Amino acid sequence: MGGMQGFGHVRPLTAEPAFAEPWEGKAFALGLLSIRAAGANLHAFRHALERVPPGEYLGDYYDRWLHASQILLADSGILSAEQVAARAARLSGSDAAEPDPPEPHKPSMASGGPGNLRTLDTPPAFAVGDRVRTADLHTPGHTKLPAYVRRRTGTVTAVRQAEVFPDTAATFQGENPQHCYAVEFDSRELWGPDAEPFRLSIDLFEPYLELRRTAARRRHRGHRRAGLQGPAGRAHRGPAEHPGGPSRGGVHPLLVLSMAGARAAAVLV
Amino acid sequence: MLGLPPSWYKDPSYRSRIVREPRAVLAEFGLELGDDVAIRVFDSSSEVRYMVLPMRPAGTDGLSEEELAALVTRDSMVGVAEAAAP
Repeated sequence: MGGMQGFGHVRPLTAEPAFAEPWEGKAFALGLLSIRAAGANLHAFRHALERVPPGEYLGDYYDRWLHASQILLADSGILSAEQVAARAARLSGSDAAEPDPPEPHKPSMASGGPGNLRTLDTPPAFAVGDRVRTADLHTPGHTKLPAYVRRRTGTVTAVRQAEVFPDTAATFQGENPQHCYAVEFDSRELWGPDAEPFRLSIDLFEPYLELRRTAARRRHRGHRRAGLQGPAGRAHRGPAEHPGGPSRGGVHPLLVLSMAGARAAAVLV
Repeated sequence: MLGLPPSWYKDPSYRSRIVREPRAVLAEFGLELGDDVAIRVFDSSSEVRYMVLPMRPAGTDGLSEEELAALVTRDSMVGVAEAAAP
């Protein structure tokens, strides 16, 4: 929903606690349990969230989680919509009969390891400083390319460790690991010439990107490789060699916010 | 975000606007930033997790690590507030 208009003022920072009502905590737990019961994964759960009908989606946050849990469980044949409706009717005092549960058909997607970080033998296609254009993607499935950064040109600022590709993992079509890049956009590229001046960084997977212009120093290295300016340069730089690249465990110890000298403020989304 | 996010972080108004008009949103949160402060927004769309290091408040020169840590709030580590004053 990045960039959608009309939601009004933000809630005050003091709006607490995390669970305003006890049922929200239960919905949270049910959401996580439904992933396991359905034999699914977190990507599939996000995809289920995206398939919640828009009216419900924009309602209560944990109501959305309940809807998504039900979608995920129905997908795997664990629980049918008829069962849920009958149980709801019974809990409201009706003596509706509860139908039998459906035949389970859980997905079986092999996982190449814990977590979502992977190591690829193929080198990353892009390097720090490259100008890249994002795809014009309109998938009915899941993607981590938000609408507000589609068809936009930005600059690669870091090469991350490769990850399981959410777009295929969400529908159990395999891990299909992809290189991942931090791409930075000027706010005017995203929101037009009257936008507030700021820069936005987002992590994007290689299939979302196409090269617009190679970084100047990379072109220079290319010349060196060709023997035009001295000894051959290295063909590729691994992620670990990039300043600002990932650290072990996927935690990027980025140091930002209001450093006295830098005068920059960082906000997380 | 590690752990359960606060309710405002999940609200459509925050999620839709912080990537489009962060300065206006921060001002609504009570954080007025001068024109000399550049804003960077990080949309955490992968497994990468970020750590925001809040600026050290003025008048904290003699404070111990423990005393300094007590000034760091969750909101300051999301980047929507400054660290508490000593």
